Amino acid sequence: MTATDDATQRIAAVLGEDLCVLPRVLHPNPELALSQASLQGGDELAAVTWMQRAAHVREGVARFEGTLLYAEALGSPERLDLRVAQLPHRPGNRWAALPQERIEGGRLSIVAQGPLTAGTLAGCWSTNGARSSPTATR
Amino acid sequence: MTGLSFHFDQPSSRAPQAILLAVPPTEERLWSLSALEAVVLEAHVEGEAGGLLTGRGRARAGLQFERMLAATGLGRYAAAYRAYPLEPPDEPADAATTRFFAVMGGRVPDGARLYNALSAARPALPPAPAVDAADVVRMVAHAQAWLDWAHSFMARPVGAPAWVPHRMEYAFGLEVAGVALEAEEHTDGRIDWYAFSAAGDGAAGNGGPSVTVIPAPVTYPGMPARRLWEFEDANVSFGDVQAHPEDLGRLLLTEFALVFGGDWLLPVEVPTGSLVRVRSLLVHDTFGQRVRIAPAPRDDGWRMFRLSPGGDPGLLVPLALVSALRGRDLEEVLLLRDEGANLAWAVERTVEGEHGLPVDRAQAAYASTPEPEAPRAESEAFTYRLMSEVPEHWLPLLPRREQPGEPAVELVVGVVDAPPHGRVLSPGAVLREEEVPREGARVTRGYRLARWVDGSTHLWLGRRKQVGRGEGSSGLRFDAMD
Repeated sequence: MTATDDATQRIAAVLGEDLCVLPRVLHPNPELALSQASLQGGDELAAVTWMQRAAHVREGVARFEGTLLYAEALGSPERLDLRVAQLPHRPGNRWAALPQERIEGGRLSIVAQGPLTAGTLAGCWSTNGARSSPTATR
Repeated sequence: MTGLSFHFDQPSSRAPQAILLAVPPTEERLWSLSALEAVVLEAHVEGEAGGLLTGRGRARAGLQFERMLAATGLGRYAAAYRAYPLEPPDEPADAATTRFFAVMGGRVPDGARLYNALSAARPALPPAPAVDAADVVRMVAHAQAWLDWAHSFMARPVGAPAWVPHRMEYAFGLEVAGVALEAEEHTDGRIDWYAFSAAGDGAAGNGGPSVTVIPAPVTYPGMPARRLWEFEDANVSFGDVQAHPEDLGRLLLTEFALVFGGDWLLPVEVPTGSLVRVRSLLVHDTFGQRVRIAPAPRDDGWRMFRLSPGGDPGLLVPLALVSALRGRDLEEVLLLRDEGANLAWAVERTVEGEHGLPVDRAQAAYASTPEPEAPRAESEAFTYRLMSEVPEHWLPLLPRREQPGEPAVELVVGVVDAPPHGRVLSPGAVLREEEVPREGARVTRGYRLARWVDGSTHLWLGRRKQVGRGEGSSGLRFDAMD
């Protein structure tokens, strides 16, 4: 084995090439950490329900949920703690995944595990949540 | 047929319309207000009780109870509510289930047991665990909030399920604008006008809005030119389309392109969940004249968008989804014929495990199959077998006469070693013989997720019936000498 300074290659050498090391993501806006309750319509567990439903149709989300189910059952300090952010950030905004009469386009919703107060996130997961909703008229 | 329709016939009201509601084929049922909320046709037709059925679902609900407790400041009672622990089944069906309960068993509240206890005690609290008098009001509110969450997490069938086990299809009815609509063979997928057949013309009604639109011509490459001496697009030649008599799709396209190219479209936006009728058409031309276009005479032939031959000419715009996200199939049952054994079989290939993932019964049966015996030596005696072994997940469909003395037969789900593990089949269930054709049938069950007009998210368990994989061979033999 040749020596390397790249941490990613070291991890791959020990744990295998299949292990995907996610890059760190810079926290885009510290204000995103605020107004969780108003963003989620007064229910800070709305993101949890959203994720639990998505876990039924998205296998990656199901693995994430299953891992944290086991962790919580075993008393791990890492518990399901989802925070929601939405870009562009506007005070009083409503999270796009919640019921609302009209969903504005051009918004990016971020659901993160753990507090959003730090400047850098250690990793991220994404789901192709593009879905078409029926309209009231046709 | 029961149902609820909203019909406005007043002048200047909107078009005769109704909210479509799924109605199971049984008549002993009334609608409730809760059933009217957030109606998603597919979810209510296809939905079946889920959520709290598997160990994973019960653990998820139990942990959600604890999260909601913590969010309301009552987290100190979390340990006390573990008096309803998730317990492993007596006989785990597979190794993955054993592993799941090794981690979760006894460590999280059982959502199903909590649900039963809290529902039975409502509006009070169950006697155990004890709650301080000062916290009772908040705990009752929390219990109700959690029950509401459990109710809304997954769409449930309203009343009797619309699934018809002996046909492995959905059958349901609706009433819209006084017209009874029946969908006798819905096998999953999008629900649209072609799923329904109508009985009667319903309420006539004279109301409805006047809509003024500017007609737009139909345009497409290769269409006949509208002016007499205009050269047509030579790149597309519908006259050269080769189609056999049975190639109906190509014939229809060619006919439309050549015959109806001069049609004009009248774009009219209508509310979903309505049966739209055009009562009159008045044309204002550029010369200021008004010409009333009479409706086409009725005939009994087949017509696009018509709900029954010679019936209501209205256009049904169902209150249905555009698309839904599909999870992977949790359960798969193959219905197939086995000419070698002169029998039909229902093969339970996968079933939903307690851990919420599909369990591959076919793989498990293959892994547990003993090594084939060495060929019999010339000197050894023959071995007589009354019957050969058939994998446990192959369930025979035993023919039985529908009526004594009548030639028609039906198929009964039999059990050889163990009953079916899934929910699609049940011991003694009866299937119509025609539901197991030569090409077979494949019935699957899985989760669907969709958003509705108001942005609400709906999750439900639906079933799907598709064409199978042809005939199969169970290897079943009787009176064999090896």
